[in-house]
Amino acid sequence: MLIKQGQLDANGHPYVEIIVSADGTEGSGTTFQALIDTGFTGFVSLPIIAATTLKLQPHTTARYELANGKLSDPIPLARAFACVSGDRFIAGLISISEHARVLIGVEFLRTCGKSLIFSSNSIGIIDDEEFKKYIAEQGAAQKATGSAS
Amino acid sequence: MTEDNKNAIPDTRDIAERGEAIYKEKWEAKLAKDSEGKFVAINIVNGDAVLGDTSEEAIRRAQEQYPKGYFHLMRVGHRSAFNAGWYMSHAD
Repeated sequence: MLIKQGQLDANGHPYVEIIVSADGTEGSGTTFQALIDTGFTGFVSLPIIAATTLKLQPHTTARYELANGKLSDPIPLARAFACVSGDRFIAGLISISEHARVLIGVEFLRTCGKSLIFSSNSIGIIDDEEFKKYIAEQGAAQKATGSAS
Repeated sequence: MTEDNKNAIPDTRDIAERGEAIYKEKWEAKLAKDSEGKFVAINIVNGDAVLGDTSEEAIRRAQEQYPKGYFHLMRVGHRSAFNAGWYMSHAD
């Protein structure tokens, strides 16, 4: 089973290495340590300076519903490409944020086909298919144990 | 937007406010019937709406139709296109 290992910072926040590219060509892009925010329903959020360095051209706006129920100010977005480091690029909308950290949200996990595994002191990202296979194998093993007893 | 200033690059708030006004006036009631949960890209220049199952699909299809367009993204039946997580909601 191939698991891309991430890391937890001192506050227990999970990070994984991603690459973001304006055009998605092989070998292009910039590597970031991205905070995995499972409450964020978007794809990737980049600080303005990182988006500028990547020459992302915003053409879209959207608002976000904040945790307190209020709506954010409009945020510019650009269509670009991102992936977990070592994988193939996937197209998505990059939010260009005034915040300092790079974030990935659940749309990133879904479109990249990734499952998230948390343990008490580490984090891993695994392909959905591998994870499903693992769950099926565990289910079959449990059934076999149940039949034998 | 008039023909005279069609080529001017609008700012973020301007795009969003125009897009929201167009969505409310022209599309909200129409799309609520059978497009709940879909993403919709509103072209702020001509008022057209392009739907997609994902945000990327809506914007990709909108850009294919209008390569130089500016869009505001909404989600049918939702107050906004996305939910912010804890970090976006609390970071300064």
